[in-house]
Parts: sequence; C-alpha cells; structure tokens
Amino acid sequence: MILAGTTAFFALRTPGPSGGAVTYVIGVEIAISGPYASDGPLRRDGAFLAIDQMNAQLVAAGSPIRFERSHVDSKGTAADAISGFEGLIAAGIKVVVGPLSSTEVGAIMPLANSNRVVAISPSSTAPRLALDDYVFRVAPNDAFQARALATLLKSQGISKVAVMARDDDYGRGIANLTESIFQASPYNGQVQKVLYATSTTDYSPDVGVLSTKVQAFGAGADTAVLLVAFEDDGIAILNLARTDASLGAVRWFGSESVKRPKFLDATTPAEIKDFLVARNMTGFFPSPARNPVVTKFEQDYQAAFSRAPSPYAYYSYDAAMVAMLSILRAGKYDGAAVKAILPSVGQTYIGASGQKVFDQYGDYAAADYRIWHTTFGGTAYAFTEVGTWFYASGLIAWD
Amino acid sequence: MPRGGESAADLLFLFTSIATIFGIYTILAISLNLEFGYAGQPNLGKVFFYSVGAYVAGILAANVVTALAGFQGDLFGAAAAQARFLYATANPGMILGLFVAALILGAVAGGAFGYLASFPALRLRGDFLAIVLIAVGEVSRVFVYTYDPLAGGAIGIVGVPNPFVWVSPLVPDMAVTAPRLLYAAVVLGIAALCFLYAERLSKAPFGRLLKAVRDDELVADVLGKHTRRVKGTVLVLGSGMAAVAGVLYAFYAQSVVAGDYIPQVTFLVLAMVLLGGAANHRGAIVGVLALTLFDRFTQPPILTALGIYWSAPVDLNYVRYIAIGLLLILVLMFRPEGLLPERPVGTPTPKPGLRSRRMRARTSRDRWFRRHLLVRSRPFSRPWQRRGECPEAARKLYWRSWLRSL
Repeated sequence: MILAGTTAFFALRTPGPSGGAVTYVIGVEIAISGPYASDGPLRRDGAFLAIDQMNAQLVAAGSPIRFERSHVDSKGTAADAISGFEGLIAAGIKVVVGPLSSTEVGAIMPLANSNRVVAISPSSTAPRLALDDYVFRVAPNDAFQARALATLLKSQGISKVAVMARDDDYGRGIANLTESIFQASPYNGQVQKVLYATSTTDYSPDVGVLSTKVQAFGAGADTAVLLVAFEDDGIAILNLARTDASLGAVRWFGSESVKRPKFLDATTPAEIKDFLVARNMTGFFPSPARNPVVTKFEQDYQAAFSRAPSPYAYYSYDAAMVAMLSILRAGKYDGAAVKAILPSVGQTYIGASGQKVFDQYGDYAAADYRIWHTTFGGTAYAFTEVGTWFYASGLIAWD
Repeated sequence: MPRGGESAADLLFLFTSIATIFGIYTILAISLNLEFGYAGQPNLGKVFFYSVGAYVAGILAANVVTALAGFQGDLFGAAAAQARFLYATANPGMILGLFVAALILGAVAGGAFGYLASFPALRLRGDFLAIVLIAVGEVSRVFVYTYDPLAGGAIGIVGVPNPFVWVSPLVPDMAVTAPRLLYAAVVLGIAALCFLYAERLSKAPFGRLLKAVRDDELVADVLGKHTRRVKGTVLVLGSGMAAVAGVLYAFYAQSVVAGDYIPQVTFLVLAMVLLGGAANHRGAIVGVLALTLFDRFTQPPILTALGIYWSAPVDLNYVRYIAIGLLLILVLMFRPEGLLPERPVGTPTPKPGLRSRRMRARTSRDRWFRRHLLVRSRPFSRPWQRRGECPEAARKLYWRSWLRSL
C-alpha cells in the first residue's frame, strides 16, 4: 500500500505540460490489450512517434503550437471503444487517431458524427463502413488485398486454396472477398474456408479440418493454404501445421498480418520459421516501394523504442501526421474544419505508408501492394520483398 | 495550460455517460442480486439475457426503421445506419414507439429465455448450473457472431438511433447533450423502478422464501415450499430485467455487437454485487457506483481534463487494470460481506386481526409442530419462544435437527 501510494504520488502531478504554448490534444484510441496485446503497443508507438517528431519540428520552427497526446486503451471491443471515445469527447478532444478494428470503428461512428469529432483509423478495412462522415481510414480496404491475392495465386499456378482465417471482421472479410474474387472469372479457382474462433487457444481441430480440405483438393503444386492470422494464433497454427503431412506438402500464402515481426523474431521456435521458409510463405503488404520516408521512419522508430515497427505502425504514424497537419492547415481545433481540410492534406502527404489519397467516403482510395516472402540468409530469417502489385493495372511487377 | 479552440472538457457529456452506464449496470446488478444474492442461483449466463434485449432492440431497429426510412441496400452498413438516424430525427413518435416496443419485447423475450434456462436450474446446483449458463451465453454469442444475416456478424448492427435524437434540432445549443440527458433520465427512472420492485419483492414473503431456498433448499422443500417454482420464477424475473438493461444499452451505444456480450460482462456485474454486498440491493448499487466511477475517472483523457497528469513510465491503462483487481482483492480480504452487508428482512409482523390466510395457516402449522414434534430439551429461554412464536430460523433449525434424527 505504501509502495502504491508513493508511486501514485510521484506519478500523478499537476499542472501538466507548461509553457505559454497553444496546445492541441490528439486523442489516441488504440487497443493495447485483448487481441491487440502484442501488436497494439507497436501501433500506439507509431502515433506517439509522429506527435513527438511534429513537436520537435514546431520547436525548431519557433512555433507556439504544441501537440499533446492522450491515449486510451479500447481493448479491441466495441463497448470499450465507445467508453474510451466518450472519455476523449468529454475531455474536449476533437481529433482522434484510432480505433483499430472495423468493429470498434463501427461502434464509435455515431458518437464521432454526432459530436463532430474526427476519427482516423489506422487499420479498419471493412468496406461496409464506407460513408461520408467524420471517420477516415488510412489503410486500404480488404477488397484491394483480395484482388492482389487472387492475382498472385494465379501467377503462381495455384487454382485451389484452403483459407484458414480468424473468425472476426478482419479474417472473415479477407476470406469472403478472396473466395468471391478468386472463384469468379478470370481466376475460376476453388476456395474452401476454415474460420477459427479467436477466443480459443487450441487450434488442433481447426488445423485438422484444414488438413482434410487440403487432402480433398489433392496436396499438389496447384493447391495452397492462405493464412489470415495474428501473431499468437498464427504461430500456434503453424506449429501444428508443420507436423501435418498434407499441410507440409503445399505452398503457403499469408495476409498482411502475417508479416508482423513476431513471426520471425527470436522468441518464435526455429522449427516454425524453417517451416515458413520451406513452404515459401508469401504475402502482401500495402506500402509504396521503399523510399527515403519509409527508411527514415524505420530508423527513428528503432531509435525511439528499440524495436522495429510492425506493419500497421506505419499507418498509425501516418494517421497522426495527417491529423496534426490538418489541424495546422485548418488553423483551429475544430472537428468540422479538420474534416473539411483532411482530404486535401492527404492528397499532398506522402508518409511511411505512402500517399494518403482518400475517396469520397474518407477511406484510402487506392494502394499498391508489396509482395514479400520468408527467407533465411544463413544467420537470420527475414521478410524479403520481391515485387509489387499495382492497383491501377491489377498486374504484378517482380523486382 | 492554454488550449486551442473549443477544447474545454465537457463535464455534462461525461455525466450523461456515467449516469446511463450506472443505470444500466444497476438493473443488471439488481437482477443478479435477486438470483444469486437472494436465491443462491449463480446465473453466470447473465450476459446472455442482457444480449437478448440488445439483439431485440438492434434487430427491431435495423429492420423496422430501415424499412420505414425506405432504404434499400446492406441493412448493417454505415449507409443504412445514416438512413435510420435521419428517419428517427424526423419521426419522434415512431422512434419513441419503437423504443417502448423494444423494452416490452425485450423483457418478454428475456423472461422467456429465463424460463427455458430454469429447466437446467431445476436439476443442477451451484457450479454445474453456473457452467451450463455460461455455455448457453457463449453458444448464443458465437451463433450471432458467425451468422451474418441475423445481426450483422462480427461488425454487428451499427446505427440504433437514440430515441430522443429528434430533440437535437429543437435545442441547437445542446444538440448533442440534450438527447443524452433525456435518455440518461429515462434509464435512471427504469433503474429506480427495478430497484423499488426488487426491494418490495425481497421484503415480501417471496423474498424470505428466496433466502430459504438459498440457505437450505432441502428444508424449504420439506416445509412444503415449491422450491423449483421459486427458482424458475426468480430466473424469469432476473432475465427479464437483464434483457431490459440490454435494450437500454443498445439504444445508448447505438450499436449491437456480438463481441461485446462475453462472459467478462457477467463477472463484472458479479464483482459489483460482491463489492457492494450480496443480498442487499442498496449494496449492489453502491458496488455499481464504485466501479463505474472508478472506470470513468481513471481514464487517462478524463484525468488529463481534470488537470492530473500521469508521468510514470508505465502506461496508465495497464495500471488501471491492476488497481481494479487489487481493489477487489482488498475488499474480499477485509470485508468479504461487501461494503453494505446483507441485513435481516425488515418486514413488519402483521397484527393478529390482519393476518392473511397463509399467515394463519403457517401459525397453526407451527403450533402443530410444537405440539407434536418439538422435543424440548430445555425450557423456553428466548423471547420469541416465550411469546409462543416460531420464526423462520427456528423452524429451519428444528427441521434440520429432525431430519438428522431420522
């Protein structure tokens, strides 16, 4: 109790940031617990880095303006997203980076619109939520990735795909879109889906079903598995799959989420990483070809947090940057003014995840996807980029 | 610290949020208190009955309002939500009628599911009943989550309009807050009604019967009480109340998402009841208030708005979770009966002339017990014995010793 009291005494202090400067608060509603316990902190740090960098630039320019951050954990659920968003509104915050998932974004949408608070989601991708409102989304929707996947699968001679996906808005979205696009002309492929519960920790029944479906397809060169998973569930599934003869005989593809660092970091068993390399796990990630902005972001992120950014950290960085630039461009801290100016700010902004051009609904208008596959260079495992899928042409160009 | 533009804290908005959530959880806590605190039925499937109300409200809004608005397209998309909102703003009578209909339908549906749930309750006790009810809640959640056409699947139903949204154009200065204030008042009113009803019920003979079932079901059975019917009745009542809370939450959150109705909600309500004091409705309300205020006032944005800044290297969000667990552990260690412990039932004894038929029957039965069965080992020494009365506790003790002697 004494320890807790002492900690609280030193941790809580008033007043806050000092100074004479005009302060605008950026709300950050990014889940760091629940399903986002692993990746959420990395995404949150992307937004924090943007705010710190912007403040450093404002100091250097002698500007009296400062940005302050106020982070609340939405826990990845709709109810907590609402509760957190209400807290941000009650605190007088007009611009929020987050929430992450489409479920959360759908839940806070009525609040954002009625209170005229701009919310910029770094990773919501469900097409169902497209509306001209106060919610902006900086990540491309699932339909882009499904189109890219279908093109890639066909280019690799795959005609039968067993999709193993999370049974949530993200996994189901990609699985359903891949199914509808890949089964239609000109791909005319076959798709079987296995949707697994995100709350479970035992994936052996689901992996067993996946194996059965692959056997039914015939575990040959024209059959593949598409994995749509996050870190913990993905690694557990791969660990089971590597011991299955059928699953170990076919090619594996992954969604953008499989490119997260944990799949190849030191804590993941070498057998799983070897399996990924042996099955030539290949996937996409929506990002521009490497450029100086991306490199600078990665260096700064590594320097600030002593770890590499996860894929969606690029998006939360850009969401925060676009939010702050819009406030500066609007010249006032007002949701309606920020909403009006934000699309034009995005059009002229090229960030860590590319140019932020928005469509009429405030969603990311288009994205090229980089293609990566897992490699082992003798000492370390890596996601090596090997090509780009261009949304304009629908074609793949290999590096 | 000077801030830009209109960034002052909106305490009225915060108040509406706290008041509404407090009202909704008060209804849930009272319903669980009736079942668990009074009747000893561990309804750990509480969230299921809560979700029934929310789905009734959501499905009703999604289908009826969208059809009335003349919207064609994805029922669960953002465009449909926008159409429902515009329709509700322009048609106050319809949205208020829909709200009342949802409350009634929700309560009936919740009660009906509670009746169905009472069947295992009649055969199972304690932990087994709790596990069955948790499973019922999880199975239903997974069904709704995976079956898109029913309630929008993983993303759920977005756009269940606030029943007072039509007030906004009438008071432009309070366009956002006025509907929320009215709604909070309605929720608190319904919570107060639930409280009064539960209090009366608990102090009535039915309340004593609930405690008898909780304390010793066998004795209550032997005394001729229909314990199965009692357990069924309390589950129907508690489930109906929980469903009303679900309806209120759906209209408050303006969305219904299957992923929200997870067992943690039940455990949160249980924690509120245990913190405040089981078998004491006032205690349950104190528990709800304590945890609601703790949750809201430890949110980092609220602390910042109040001028309190967290500068420790640990994320405050994590500290909140630790603190709430610590609080519960401390209360259970040092005050296991809760902040407001259970008190004896305060029903006044009816005057002899006003005794009901049931009371007369009970008195004559007591007399018969004493005359034929009671083996007195010592002279009457307690005041009630000298008065020739036989209160519940004494009857129970008597029957327990009689059963042991068999």
